[in-house]
Amino acid sequence: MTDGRTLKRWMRVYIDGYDMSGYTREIGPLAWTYDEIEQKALSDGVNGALPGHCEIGPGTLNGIFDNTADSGLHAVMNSGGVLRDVMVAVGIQAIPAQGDHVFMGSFNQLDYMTAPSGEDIALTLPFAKTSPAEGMLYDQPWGRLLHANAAVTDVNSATGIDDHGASSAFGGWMMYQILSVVGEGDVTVKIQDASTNSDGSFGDLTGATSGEIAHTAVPASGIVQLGKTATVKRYLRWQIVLDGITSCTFVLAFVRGR
Amino acid sequence: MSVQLATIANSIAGMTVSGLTIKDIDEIPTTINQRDLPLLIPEPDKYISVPKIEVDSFGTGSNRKMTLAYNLNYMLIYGLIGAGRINILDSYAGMLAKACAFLDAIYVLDGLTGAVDFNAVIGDPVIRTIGDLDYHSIDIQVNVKEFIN
Repeated sequence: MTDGRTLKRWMRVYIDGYDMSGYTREIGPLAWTYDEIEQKALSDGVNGALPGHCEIGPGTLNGIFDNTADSGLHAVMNSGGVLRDVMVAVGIQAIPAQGDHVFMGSFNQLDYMTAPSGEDIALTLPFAKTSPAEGMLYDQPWGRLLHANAAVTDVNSATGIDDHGASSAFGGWMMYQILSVVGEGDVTVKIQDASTNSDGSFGDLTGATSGEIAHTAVPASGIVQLGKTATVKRYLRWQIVLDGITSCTFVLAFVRGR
Repeated sequence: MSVQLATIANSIAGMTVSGLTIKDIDEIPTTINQRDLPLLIPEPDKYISVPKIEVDSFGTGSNRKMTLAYNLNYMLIYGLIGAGRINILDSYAGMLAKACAFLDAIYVLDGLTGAVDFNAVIGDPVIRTIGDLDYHSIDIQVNVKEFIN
């Protein structure tokens, strides 16, 4: 992960197990908003916001109409009123890599609008904001990429990332986007944590697993939330279990609770 | 962060395009050896064109964010005119194909070391006279963008 600023060409968008980057012109604003409370007392010096009460949303996805069967933007997202797992990975002057920041969540696609735009046919896909009341225990949409979009054929024996500088006791949540597999069987994508960033120190982070995903269910995506007081050690890495499946292309990110 | 022109030129020279030799800015030949053709070389008299600097933030000279954009101009020297067996335009289609092959190669790159954004276009086919010999040639322009700070 490089440090510094970047360009939007280095963003990647994954929705419901599909890589929509090649069809997406823009997505945003990636909002994380705490409304000011209306009620305030006479002696309050400033307006405040209620912690834990926020609205999170990916804004609008502006894309390019493409009717490629099974995977084009039209084929995958041609309906409104559908809850979608949206992950926006931000690469820093390069393709997103392990450790880069990710905005993600489960959002209602409100609409599917098609209109000419210049010489293209443009798509406008607005998403609703979501709030903790819709099932999420956490009010943070920004996390870190643990596995960038790539095929994996074996277990992970590499080191992980240090996203926090220390262990934490506030849980967290993960999103997986399984884009494709080779072979027939099951795949499990999970997160391991460790106090020391070395292969032998990592162990499964309790609860941070997709469970077995059958090859017939791919493309697949999902959110897994840990308990809000779960301990998450300092270092994190992805891990995989391949059973029958010989290769799995996936993206995995984690938001550490605070 | 310093201007990365030399690094970018080196990255371009390091690209692999079948049947094409790409030269770096310190490898520009002064004579053409026909056995080295086709050859993609920096155009010495106008290698950098349309430089544009945008200041993106406040700050001192070493802190303020800036974006530098410019074009790097190359000439693809394809072959000697009249070297074919049929007519003097024998190699014209091959030259265009080789230029497109370079574009294909740069379009699929995930990154170009030194540049935060890049692209390429083909220019006009021209007949270039080098050392009293005429060559089929075509201009290729690589557009690059760098972050300063």
